[in-house]
Amino acid sequence: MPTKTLTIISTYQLSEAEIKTILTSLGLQKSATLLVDNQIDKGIIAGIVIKYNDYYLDLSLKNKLREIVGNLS
Amino acid sequence: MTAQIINFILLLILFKKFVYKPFLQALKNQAKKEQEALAKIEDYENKEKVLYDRKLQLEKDYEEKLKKMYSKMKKETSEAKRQILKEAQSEAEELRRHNLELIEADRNKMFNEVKQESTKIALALSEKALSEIVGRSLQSEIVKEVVKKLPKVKYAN
Repeated sequence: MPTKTLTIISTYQLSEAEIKTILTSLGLQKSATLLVDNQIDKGIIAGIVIKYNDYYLDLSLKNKLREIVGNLS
Repeated sequence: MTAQIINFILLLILFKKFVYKPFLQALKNQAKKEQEALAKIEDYENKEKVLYDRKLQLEKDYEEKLKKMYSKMKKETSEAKRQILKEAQSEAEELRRHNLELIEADRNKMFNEVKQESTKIALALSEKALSEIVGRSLQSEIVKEVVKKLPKVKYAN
């Protein structure tokens, strides 16, 4: 029974290898208590958004674009 | 002849005693009165002259006072006028400055609004364009690059 959820938002269904690399980077391992939820959102254009507990990392192209525009204005 | 001389002398004595002396005295009195009257007239004339001079002096003083008052009033009026003018100019300048500030604030507000709208439009267009440009393979490449650059964090399951 999973007790924790790792949400990864991307524009396409990530491969097992990609998910594994992400888990490794976060110091996590696939287990029965961890649910990996790969959500698809084409609105982020490209890249990924990671949510885990209170950890939130937006590495999407949309967010990058907004950062650039925000800095320009 | 002797009697005539005596009569004449007697007449002369009587004339001198009862006519000439009183007449002379009356003339003297008259002359004295005339002198006194003249003296009084002169005195009055002198007093009149003094009064006239005093009147002239008073008129002159009065005229000078009037001139001074007029000059002072004119100066005060001029000063008040200048003060009012200065205050009016100051108020006008303040109003102008305030209006310029309002115009400047409105202009800045409008500029910021236009800038924000332009940014929103540019962002929306960019997102739309990138969504269409970035294909599946490029999305995959971007994910690979992003994953490589992921910060190393230690989370326990």
